[in-house]
Amino acid sequence: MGILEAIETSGFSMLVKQSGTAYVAVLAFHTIGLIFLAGVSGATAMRVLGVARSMPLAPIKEFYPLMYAGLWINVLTGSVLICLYPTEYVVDPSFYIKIGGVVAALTLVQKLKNHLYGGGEGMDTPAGVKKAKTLAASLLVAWLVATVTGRVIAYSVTTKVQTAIGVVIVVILGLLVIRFAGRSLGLVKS
Amino acid sequence: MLGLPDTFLQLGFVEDLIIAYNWVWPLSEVLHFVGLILLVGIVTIYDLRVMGVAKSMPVAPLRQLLPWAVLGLILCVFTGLVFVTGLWANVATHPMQAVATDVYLQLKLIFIALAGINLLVFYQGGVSRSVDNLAAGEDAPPLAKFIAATSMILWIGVVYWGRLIPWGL
Repeated sequence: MGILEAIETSGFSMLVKQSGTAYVAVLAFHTIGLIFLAGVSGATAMRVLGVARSMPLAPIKEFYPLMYAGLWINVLTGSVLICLYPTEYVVDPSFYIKIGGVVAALTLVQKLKNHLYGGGEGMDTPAGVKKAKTLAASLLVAWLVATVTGRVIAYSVTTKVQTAIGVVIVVILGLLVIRFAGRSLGLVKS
Repeated sequence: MLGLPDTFLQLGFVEDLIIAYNWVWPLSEVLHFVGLILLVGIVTIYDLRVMGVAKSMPVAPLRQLLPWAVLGLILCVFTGLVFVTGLWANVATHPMQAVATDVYLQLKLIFIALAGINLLVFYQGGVSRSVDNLAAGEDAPPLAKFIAATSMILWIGVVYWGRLIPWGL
């Protein structure tokens, strides 16, 4: 029996799968972890991109323990989830895209953190602002990729592609609304 | 339930869309998640500040993020209505039947209602005025902290129960 089959039929995996409570709790905490992780890092990215401009950047770092709590919740719950059906995940390209999105997002979180708080240029120079905004926008895209692919893992390839196209269209429409009506909607302030 | 027919919350055109286009339901799920990240993520950050975490953050500028939490709420309500009104097309269960029998859906709705009442107490009860202009380093009154802690627990509960809904159908 291959290692993946062994993991999938292991005592631990079967225990979680057969326990309705454990399995759904793992799923629920995976979502909660995502909200903490993407929420705090996303808020940092939004601030860098110009949302809530009067919010000072330095204190945002004090929310990072919540972000790291979300990261560890997701590492733990994600590890459990992978153990349940590894033979399905290993042949699913969207699983690799999701993991790629998560790795990219975490790398960008660290780069942005170092740039803003770790002795980098920060937002003090035009070049620093440009770099920060590029990192922030890339971070939001990476989280969106991870969130979308994570959600559509259970669907057919056609549905995955169609959903991804739908998300892109909604995001473009959303950006247009923010661009032209953001101030009047209170989403962007001077 | 409540003397209403099982088909009470069903909308034919939503069901038709879900049946005709495979991407409608998963797209709604993705947008529901994005809405949750905005709503619960930002509200949690705000609640933590009121509770005394990250005290160097003044509250007034932090409040500028709240319209994005409202955007998240709107996304969640809109996509949530797609799930409810189009439920029959996806899992052949009437929405009223789901409300009557799915304990996780019931708990989610109860937690949302409690979060709404908590919010009303915060704003209509005047507690928000004691928090709105807290400067860096200042502490919120105990009642505000209690409301913030309650808010955080309730919204995390909404996410938790909501994730379990498919297993209660």
